[in-house]
Amino acid sequence: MKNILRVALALTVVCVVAACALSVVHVVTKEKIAEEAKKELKEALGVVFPKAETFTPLDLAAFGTLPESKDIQFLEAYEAQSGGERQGLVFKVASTGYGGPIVLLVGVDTKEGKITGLKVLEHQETPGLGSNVAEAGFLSQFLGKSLESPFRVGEDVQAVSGATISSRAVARACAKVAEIVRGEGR
Amino acid sequence: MMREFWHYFRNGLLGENPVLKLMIGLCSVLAVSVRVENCLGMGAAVIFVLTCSSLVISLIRNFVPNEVRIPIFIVVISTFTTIVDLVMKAYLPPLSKAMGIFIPLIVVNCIIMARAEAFASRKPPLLAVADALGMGVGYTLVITAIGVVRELFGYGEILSHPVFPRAYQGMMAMILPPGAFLLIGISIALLNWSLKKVKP
Amino acid sequence: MEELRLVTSAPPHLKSPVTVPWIMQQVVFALLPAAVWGVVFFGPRLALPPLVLSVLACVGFEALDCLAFRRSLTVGDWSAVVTGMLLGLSLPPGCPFWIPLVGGGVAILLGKQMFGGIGQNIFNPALVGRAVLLISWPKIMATWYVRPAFVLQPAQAATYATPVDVVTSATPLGIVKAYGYPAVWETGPNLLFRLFLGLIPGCIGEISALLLLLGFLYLLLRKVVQWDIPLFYALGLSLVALLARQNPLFHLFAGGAIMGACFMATDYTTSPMTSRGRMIFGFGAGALTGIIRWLGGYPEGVTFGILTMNALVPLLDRMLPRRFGVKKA
Repeated sequence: MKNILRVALALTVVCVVAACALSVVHVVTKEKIAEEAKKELKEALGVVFPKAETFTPLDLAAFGTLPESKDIQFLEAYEAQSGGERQGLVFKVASTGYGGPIVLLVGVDTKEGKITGLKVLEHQETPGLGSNVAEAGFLSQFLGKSLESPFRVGEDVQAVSGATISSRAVARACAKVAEIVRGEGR
Repeated sequence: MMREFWHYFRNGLLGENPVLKLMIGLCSVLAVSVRVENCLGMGAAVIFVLTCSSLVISLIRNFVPNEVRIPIFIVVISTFTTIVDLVMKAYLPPLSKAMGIFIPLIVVNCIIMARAEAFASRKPPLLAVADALGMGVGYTLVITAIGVVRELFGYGEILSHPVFPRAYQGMMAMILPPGAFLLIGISIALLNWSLKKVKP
Repeated sequence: MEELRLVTSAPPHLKSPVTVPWIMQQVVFALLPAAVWGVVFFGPRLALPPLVLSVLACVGFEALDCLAFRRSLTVGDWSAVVTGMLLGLSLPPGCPFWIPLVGGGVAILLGKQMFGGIGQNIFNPALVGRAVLLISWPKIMATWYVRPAFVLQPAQAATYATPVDVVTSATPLGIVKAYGYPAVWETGPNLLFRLFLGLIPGCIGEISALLLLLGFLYLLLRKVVQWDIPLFYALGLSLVALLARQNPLFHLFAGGAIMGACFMATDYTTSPMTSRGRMIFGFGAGALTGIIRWLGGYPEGVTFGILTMNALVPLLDRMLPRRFGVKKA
């Protein structure tokens, strides 16, 4: 009985001390971490939509039924604004590539019906082959593309050589985003 | 006391090097050693967690009941790991992103648990710190050496500065996990070979 | 315990003419027709440098290693020449000069000397070199130069308009991976016939099934190799091809299947000792080759198929020991 008390006491003391230490560190770093995450998101959004100054998160439900399938999922949506006026939309999409989902941001200018930019946030594609879809060399071909384009690898999209599946995943993300935006305009 | 300190410190560098001799904590070596920068960051994180937790565990070793020593070690280790994780996320976000899950995974890194159980919980604080520093530095040396080779041949760079001419085409096998496996194997072979040569 | 009495009788002794250098030379002879055809078909400018450099690299690195680690010089046994030829023949024509050098270095140092030299290695050295090259420089290892007349074009791809002396082309297996199995049959008539003769883009020495089979036949007649591994390799590969509803003959003649089955899987040190072990080994390597081609990410599976089975050889030898004087195990 006495032993059990001793064991319980030891564990409790250690846990309490650990919890105190952690809460102090958490309080100290909390703001900074949130700030960093915000800054990172803002930077990424700025890359795909350079013209806009502010981005407001939107509810994905506002777009009605999304054209999702097992190969593509919509994660987040933002409204890109400049001078308080809506310029376009940015979508965070997960599209299945060769090694797993490729998470990317797709920026769309809704006034001109064009793609404004792409940025790959996460991927597990083969280094040296599929990983090249995250490079500007591949992504720049989408810049300024009309939303009416078919976004099909081999037709209007040039695949990264040796990485057709990864290239298709990026093209698919653009095609689906274009589909949503076209649907919204009607 | 000082001589003992150096004895246990040196032990971790070569004789009982955690990676090449004890062969523990290998998963983080495989995963993180792609670039030298990550290796140094990971090494610093491991040294910090290992030293702090060894010190604390050694200090409380007489207070800890034998039945619950493992849970207590884990609480101590995970506390320090979480501190490192939070601090890195706040002040070194790119490094924290590059190492991803491997910082939180220091909790289950065998080096730290093994040293806590085998050494820190039985020895006075000063020696526990000596052992922890030796093990941590030994780990950092090996992971950095592997990182240098992988970054040099994989990307043609050291600390992200180009070393080879621009025409150099990176050797992908070095960047992928197999490269780390091969390099660890080769390092072990070379270490054993050279130790054998020293004392015939 | 009864003492073993092994007595050396008085000379003269019979010396077997079958020595390691002799065996290795036979393999080199057997590979020559395929090598010559590679040089003729792709032209010396594309095919000769990889071949020559790969042999030189293998021999050179073995000599260097022996000197550096104070081992007795084993270059004279011709095994490094065989490794170099196998590696060179499985490179794409027109690859940069440093590809065979790196490949040869990896093959000999990592694949062979690291394990203790000839007879000690677990993996076929030439395949180790090729695997590292495949993983490291996938683009270079999948760039196939060929004379324009022999370019393979899937129906979907655009055609080359400008006449140049060499162009890059897809290989049959590359077309299967990128455009699907039916596309390869739309590339032109008599595909199987061209595959068999070697009138297609591919690795320097792997294109002609006919010449490789002739070389293998020579080795069989010279009793240097046995038929069991290649036969079961073919069976394994054909079975998977049938499961995939694809033509087994296409899979046997395409890519490096014949080269792998006849010359790489049959390597003494890296194949099992018992007959049953060799059958399992061959079947497994063939089946894995087919499975990688069918479902895997790489168009060709010979390298990884054989290497995987190489790793199982110690296990196979242990599970199926050769029992002297016992008929049924």
